[in-house]
Amino acid sequence: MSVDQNKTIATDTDQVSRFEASMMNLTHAFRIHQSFIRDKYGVSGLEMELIQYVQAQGPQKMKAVSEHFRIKLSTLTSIIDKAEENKILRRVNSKEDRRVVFLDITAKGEKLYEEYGGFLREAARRIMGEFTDDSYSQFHKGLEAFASIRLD
Amino acid sequence: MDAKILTESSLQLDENNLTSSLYELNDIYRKHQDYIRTKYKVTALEMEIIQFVSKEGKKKMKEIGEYFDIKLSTLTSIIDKIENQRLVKRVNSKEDRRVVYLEITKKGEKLYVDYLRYIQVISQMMRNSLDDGQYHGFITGMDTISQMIVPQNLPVNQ
Repeated sequence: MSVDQNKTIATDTDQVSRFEASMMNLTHAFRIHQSFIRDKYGVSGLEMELIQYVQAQGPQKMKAVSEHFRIKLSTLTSIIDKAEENKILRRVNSKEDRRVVFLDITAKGEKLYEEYGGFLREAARRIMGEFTDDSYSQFHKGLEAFASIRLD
Repeated sequence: MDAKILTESSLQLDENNLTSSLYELNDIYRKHQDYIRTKYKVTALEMEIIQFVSKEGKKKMKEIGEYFDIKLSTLTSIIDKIENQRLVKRVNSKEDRRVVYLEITKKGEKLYVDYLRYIQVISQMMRNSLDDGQYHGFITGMDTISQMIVPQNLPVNQ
């Protein structure tokens, strides 16, 4: 599914307003959450996502990272330069082909991942109390539907 | 723990699945942010400010700073940028010239209407692929998570 804004749509004003308000709440909450990551862990929200991605997937080619995060390679280069200076990620050359560069996590990056992961698990435990099996299942279906929409 | 997408068989409400859902929601949010930046040439925060003044009418800079919990100095440079894009404008109060209000411009209103249409399309696409319970369950779930991931509701002292 991809977004086509020229398509005629049946509108339910209340429904759209409710969805808009929810997206606004989410934007607001994520922004505050990102500030919290910056203050508590000394990295940006994107750097934390990069750490999570490389830790979960193993060393990744720069191209694969840029595609996953939909960031231009030139932009990613400067982001990784900063992350390397901060010693949370490092570039390593492939043993098979020295021209190929992989992005890997450092010990400091792993430590951050563990700390933030523990924090997220604790947050998840708290959020769990707000859901029932049924409401979580409904929420998750919506999450899948939203994830399948191509925003391009 | 990783950011993998959950499968049908792993829908059980537990800590690992919920943590994965948080990662997934973060990924969706990032896509939404990227889309706004690419299509409308504003950041998600700038769009929030445009939404705010469009819906609420003109607001004092101080009120906006408080609402978004942003220092006035940071807000000033954000507003400079969207004012240069002619999406908002600063106006001096007629009662007290020292007081500065921010209000939406015609271009800003047009952008907001366009953004609202994008939200309508997303909402309709979601509506088409979900039943009533799932659709409302998703929105309620997003609101719950939005509320729970802000610092005052988080275990910040860990």
